[in-house]
Amino acid sequence: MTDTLLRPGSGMLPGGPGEGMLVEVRGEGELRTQDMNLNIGPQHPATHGVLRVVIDLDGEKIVRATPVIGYMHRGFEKLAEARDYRQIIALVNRHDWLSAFCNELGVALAVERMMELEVPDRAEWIRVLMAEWNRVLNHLMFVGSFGLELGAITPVFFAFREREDIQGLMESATGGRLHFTYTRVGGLKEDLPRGFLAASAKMTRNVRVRNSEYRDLLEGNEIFKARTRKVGILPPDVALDYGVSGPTLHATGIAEDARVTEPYCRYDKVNVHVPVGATGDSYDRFQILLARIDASLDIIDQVLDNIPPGPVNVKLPKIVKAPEGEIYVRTENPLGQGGYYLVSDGKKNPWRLKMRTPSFNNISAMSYLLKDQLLSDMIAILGSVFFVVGDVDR
Amino acid sequence: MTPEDLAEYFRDKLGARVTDTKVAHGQLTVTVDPEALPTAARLCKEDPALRFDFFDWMSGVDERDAGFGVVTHLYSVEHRHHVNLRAVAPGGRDQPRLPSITGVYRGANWHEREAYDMFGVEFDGHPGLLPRILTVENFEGFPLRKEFHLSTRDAKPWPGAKEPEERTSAEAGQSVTTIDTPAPVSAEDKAAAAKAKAERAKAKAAAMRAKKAGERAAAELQPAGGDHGARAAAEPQPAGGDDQASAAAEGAAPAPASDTATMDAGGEGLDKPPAPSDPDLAGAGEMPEAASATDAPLQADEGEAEETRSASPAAAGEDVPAGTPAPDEPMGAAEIADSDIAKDAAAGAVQGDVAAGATGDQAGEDEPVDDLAAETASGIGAPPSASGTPGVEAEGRHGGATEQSGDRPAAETPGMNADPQGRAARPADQTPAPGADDGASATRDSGQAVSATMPDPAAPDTTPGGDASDRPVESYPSPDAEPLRAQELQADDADPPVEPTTPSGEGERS
Repeated sequence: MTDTLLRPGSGMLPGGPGEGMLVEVRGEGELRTQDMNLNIGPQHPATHGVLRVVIDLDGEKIVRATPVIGYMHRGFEKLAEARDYRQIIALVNRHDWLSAFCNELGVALAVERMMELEVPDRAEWIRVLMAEWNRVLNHLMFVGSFGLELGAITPVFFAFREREDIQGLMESATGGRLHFTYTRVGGLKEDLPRGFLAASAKMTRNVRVRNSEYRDLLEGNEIFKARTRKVGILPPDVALDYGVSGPTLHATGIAEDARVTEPYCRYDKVNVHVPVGATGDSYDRFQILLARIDASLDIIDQVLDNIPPGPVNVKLPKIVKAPEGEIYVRTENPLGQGGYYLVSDGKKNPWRLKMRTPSFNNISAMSYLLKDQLLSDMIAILGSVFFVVGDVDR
Repeated sequence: MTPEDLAEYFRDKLGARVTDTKVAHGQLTVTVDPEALPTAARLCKEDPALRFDFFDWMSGVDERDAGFGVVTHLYSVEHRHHVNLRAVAPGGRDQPRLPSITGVYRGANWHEREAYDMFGVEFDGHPGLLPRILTVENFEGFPLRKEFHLSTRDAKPWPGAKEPEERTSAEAGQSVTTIDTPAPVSAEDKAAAAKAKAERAKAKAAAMRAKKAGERAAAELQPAGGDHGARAAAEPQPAGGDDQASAAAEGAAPAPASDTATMDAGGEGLDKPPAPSDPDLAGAGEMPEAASATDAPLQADEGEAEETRSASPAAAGEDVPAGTPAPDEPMGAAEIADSDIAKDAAAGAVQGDVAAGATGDQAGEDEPVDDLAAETASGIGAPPSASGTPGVEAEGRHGGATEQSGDRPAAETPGMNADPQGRAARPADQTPAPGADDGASATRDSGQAVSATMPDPAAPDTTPGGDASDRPVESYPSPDAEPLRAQELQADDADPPVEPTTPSGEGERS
């Protein structure tokens, strides 16, 4: 043992066998550690893209964490000023590529409300249906990836199996797998294909069963619990102060959800269950995610029961122009509250289109969440504040 | 509280510091004195009747001459009401400054950084607006200000401006002209320059086509791999008696016969009609005459305007593929306009990038009909290029160039003409081009290779005004559709006026 530790020619190692320890402790008896600066990302598997977090470490403890964003900034807000409203719909389902339908819905709602356009009943119901499928699609992704980040590799394969099915379903209606571009100002691109509702009903049963499997896989997992419980606690007042929304806010116990408090489309006709947590820790956030999948499936079932026949769009003039003024429309997107602040000067392209994206606000709370946490908990916290980097950077 | 009540409440509490309240679409916007913004924010957050505890977002808005406004959206989870707190930053467009509200809402930190990054509004009391939050650290300018132009739009007006009245006004797509900061060159000028360039390119391309078609016709009289002497003799004929050309060609004619024949055999195809010379070979010193033989007819054909350019064999060499519609690769057509324009730019025209930008946009679906570059290119089957980015276009052109130079080094020679013909178009040899649309049509008919694979050249002319989404979407055939779900599927914006699509039934018909 001693031999292996000896450098050639260094003689006897202090503290070796047969010698007393020669470590002298000065000061008040505490070993000082040097602060270390560590870059997580921009290319890091746990950051879902190109988020960079600069952390200052004191030993294992995070003294300060600074998220650095902008690596994926594509200037969508500027681009939107040079596009008309139909083109913007194709534009906005790109920043958060996991919530494409919900994003485009927000733009359509904003323009419709400005134009005071009456959208056909069936279109509104289909919008609810698609938004909820999109939500399930999104949440399945994070159910899988969060498990993966904590070392559970099975859930991600399972989750992607269901995602594939749902993507196939949505593709049959919209023609897209990721960027649906299905919404139009005044309605939808086209009606659902034949058999969609039946397939939808079948799929809800299927996913509900699978969802309980994820519960068993992860929620009951001791390691998973140990790594997420009481980790990354976000108090409700802080969450609101930062504008955190979605599952992360609901986990703190606040059931603020635009689908309930300011229903859009036909959310006022369905019963929306908003699951809330108690402690606001990582475990709660994950539980909320699973519960939201079930809630969404319930909404889909209600839509399937209620969806009326009818047209799915209104005829519009060739050029859609929003009247002068400004409007803010918020929707409950899978990752939180998404919104568009649209300022129009009466032209066919907006004067200003502010994208209020949930991930931006959620990530801005990251420096609070990571402070004084252990480095090993960082991934559990980062992964549980569900975000998409494109949604942060736009 | 209703928005109106809220407005009243704000006025009561803040008095004269509220400069304006406005309710639109059920949403309240309270404009406050810039100095009073933190006070107002604190009131919003702490007043029990307001309790705006949810910091939603903050955003700059370009307010034209007034400078920049900053709108902060707040929401109360408890009372479920909203407010837009608005303040116009004093300091105009040069020095917009506002007090920070990060002391009130922590979430304002990043939003203020964003407002600074995008609009240049500085926030007093903010813990650190730099480094810039979204753009890169050395980024110049503030991108969401209206005087900040998108580079693509700088080169060419917005292609989405398909309505005639919008297209003629210079500000199509750039509703920015209200700001008095002038663009380096106005979009109109650039467009005009690009158009003129494209027109020249088109004229040149047409001339080249006529020329090449004549040559091919002459070559066609002989079987493949035919007599080089005859071929070379035929060449100068369309040139119409340019002394230099004919002299050079005559001098060169006998020389390349054996050499190029072997080269062809080793090269791409035995059935390739004779290539009298290869500039590369010629340049290597074996047959300097051959190079001039190929250059000379070109020169004669293009006229005096191009003399200076064709003095350089390399520059002239670029022309030939331009005049050669390569039938089996659609890019070839785009190359015509591109290489000509690129060559012009290289020859000293200052708006090289402008031209490139213009051609980059040329095949966009909303392209106006009168864009000659687009017409030229699409007329011979260029694929629509969705990209209007000059960079992308440059890349495309570059790729094409390497292909030509790498794959077929003989591209510069008349023999190149015959190459695609030999490779692709034998079966369709005598098919005339269907509906050839421009001045070159008569001669293009004899360019068999062109007609073989060329999409109907008239087709692009019929559509450029239309938007893809304007076309009605085909309905799914649904013979046994359930009445509930089957429905005529139609684009929302098809031409006929207001009338919702009828529900069931129509789908069954289709």
